[in-house]
Amino acid sequence: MTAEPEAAAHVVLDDVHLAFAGRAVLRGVRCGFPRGKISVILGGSGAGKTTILRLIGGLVRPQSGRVVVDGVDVCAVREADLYAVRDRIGMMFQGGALLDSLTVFDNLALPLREHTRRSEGEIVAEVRRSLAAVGLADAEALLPGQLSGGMIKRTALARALVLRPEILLCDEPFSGLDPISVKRIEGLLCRINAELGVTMLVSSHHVRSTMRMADRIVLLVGGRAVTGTPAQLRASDDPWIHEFLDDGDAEGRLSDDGGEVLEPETRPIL
Amino acid sequence: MMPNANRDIAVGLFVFAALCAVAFLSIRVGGASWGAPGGLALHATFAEIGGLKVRAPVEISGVRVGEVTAIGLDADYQARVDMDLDAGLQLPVDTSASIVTAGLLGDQYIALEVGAEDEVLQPGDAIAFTESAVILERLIGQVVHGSKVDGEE
Amino acid sequence: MSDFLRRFGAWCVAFVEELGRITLFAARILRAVVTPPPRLRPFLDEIYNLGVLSLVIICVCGGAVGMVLALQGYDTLVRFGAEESLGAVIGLSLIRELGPVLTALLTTGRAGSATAAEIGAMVRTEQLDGLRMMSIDPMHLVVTPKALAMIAVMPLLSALFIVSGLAGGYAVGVGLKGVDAGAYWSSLEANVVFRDDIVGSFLKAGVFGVIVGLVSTYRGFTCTPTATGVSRATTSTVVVSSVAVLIADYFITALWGS
Repeated sequence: MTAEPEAAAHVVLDDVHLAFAGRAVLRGVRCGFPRGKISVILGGSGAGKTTILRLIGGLVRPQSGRVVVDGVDVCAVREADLYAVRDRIGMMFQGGALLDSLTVFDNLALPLREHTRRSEGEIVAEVRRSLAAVGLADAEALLPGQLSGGMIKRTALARALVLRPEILLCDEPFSGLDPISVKRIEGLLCRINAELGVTMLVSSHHVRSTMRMADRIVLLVGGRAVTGTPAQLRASDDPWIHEFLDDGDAEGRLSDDGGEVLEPETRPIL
Repeated sequence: MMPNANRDIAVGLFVFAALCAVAFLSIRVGGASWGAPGGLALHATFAEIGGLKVRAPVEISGVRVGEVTAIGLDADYQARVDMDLDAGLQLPVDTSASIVTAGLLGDQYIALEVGAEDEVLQPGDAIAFTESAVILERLIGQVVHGSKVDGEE
Repeated sequence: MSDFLRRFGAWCVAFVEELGRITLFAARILRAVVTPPPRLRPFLDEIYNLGVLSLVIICVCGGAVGMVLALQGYDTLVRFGAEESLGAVIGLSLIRELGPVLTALLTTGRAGSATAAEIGAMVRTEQLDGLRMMSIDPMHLVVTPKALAMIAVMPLLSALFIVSGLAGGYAVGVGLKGVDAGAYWSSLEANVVFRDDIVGSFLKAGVFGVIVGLVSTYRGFTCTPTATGVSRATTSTVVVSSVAVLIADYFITALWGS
């Protein structure tokens, strides 16, 4: 497709190869994510969408290639230096990844308590503001086990933003939600991008929302990336892309329970 | 991580109870002492200590007044027994120490027989008069040997 | 035959590799201990989870073991007229061996498997990755307090087990079988030596705490992030910890006694 100028790229993947347990997932992915825009990584399940986000977060390392976040190659730095990069990233996990022994309030307060020197009063105010912004003002004393799917996603979103990151990674924010909740999350994400100017990388197989909210789409095809704006992809004459986009409109085809299982390289012996 | 007051109380009680158990085992049962608390330390030399063990009681008239703290050999290969007795005991210098058995097959302990002199033993002194432990086998051997001698006469 | 040897060799190599990984894991825990901030709250919470919640099983089993020791011990000792030494027999058995070892095995079953399952579930639901993305080291916040709490709790539970056993032994020996109460305690006191027996007992309990704490957190941390992976981590924690505790028991007994 057309090559977008990489000058405004906040995050760049350069010829990334990644395989799990002998199965190649990414075969030389090259793409960039522009600063301050909403980019959506689109693809079927198992295509590697979540993997790209995990690569950017430094949670997994590729066999070859570079993943450059704001000028830092996260594949080449030590674990200790990774934390400095992660300070600028907020991640919203597919299952929320909330600490299930803490209340919603404490889950949001945790990063504030860890990384800022604010007083408890300031933290309380900040957490309440975040919860109100995502519509969960009444939920602060609940445990994650007591929340609905949509509430978990919104809490995870609020937690990812509480330290005002420059980059927001959202792993399948629409999975498992009813259409009204999907619209709600979509609206929140767009508002956050508009008001805070956060660079957003969203992985999704939800074509309709993608076409609505994305400034740029990275389509994962056979382990490679095809980049373009929604209009460009629509106008493309590649039949495969159209099959993907058109079939995706029927919500049944691409929606599944998602989730890629990552196999560790070591196995316990007993 | 909201602190739960009940949990904290439970943790406190648990640790307290466990530490009490540790203290009980160490001090009451195990006999750990806080260094040398000013007990009366004496020692005595025996030709034979039998089954006497460290921590065996030392008694006067059947009342426990201390315990054996160490057993070793002196230069003449006699058994040297160190004991720690209650502070403030006034024992005349002719006090004697004998190793006796509690019951026929019981544990051995030291019985002190108080003397009559005016001078008293000072900390670190030796008890001069000692009676070694009776070894059952030797006693039986003496009886057998004695009756043989009688028989021969 | 050669196929068997090959697989056995591979197993040996894998075993040594695993040992190496556990050692590196332990080193990471030690590094986390000396890194600020001190995680007092999680540590105390874990003392509750591992210690307080194990109290019932420890005290009940300790009492039961003491009672059985009294029954068996009395029947044997009374043949030699030595039933007055019952206190010493029960006490020495509990203090030297049964206290630390049984406490460790019971704790492995309850608290060790719970720890492995908890950490494993956190791996599976990406909670640990979530912490990493918030620049919080999961070794520091989650693993280290659990491991340290296990080490701290084991000697405490062992002491309570022993005391429960002595009480159970008293109830059966003195209360049921008619051993003289004074003789029970005095034979106990006369035969237990602080340095060899008591210190050795707590040393064992401490070492067992290290073993169980290390194995349970390691297995949970490195488990495959699926439901079967978590359950395998839990069962292997119990198996590996139990075997390691018993083997360590032999070596400590042999080395400490000499």
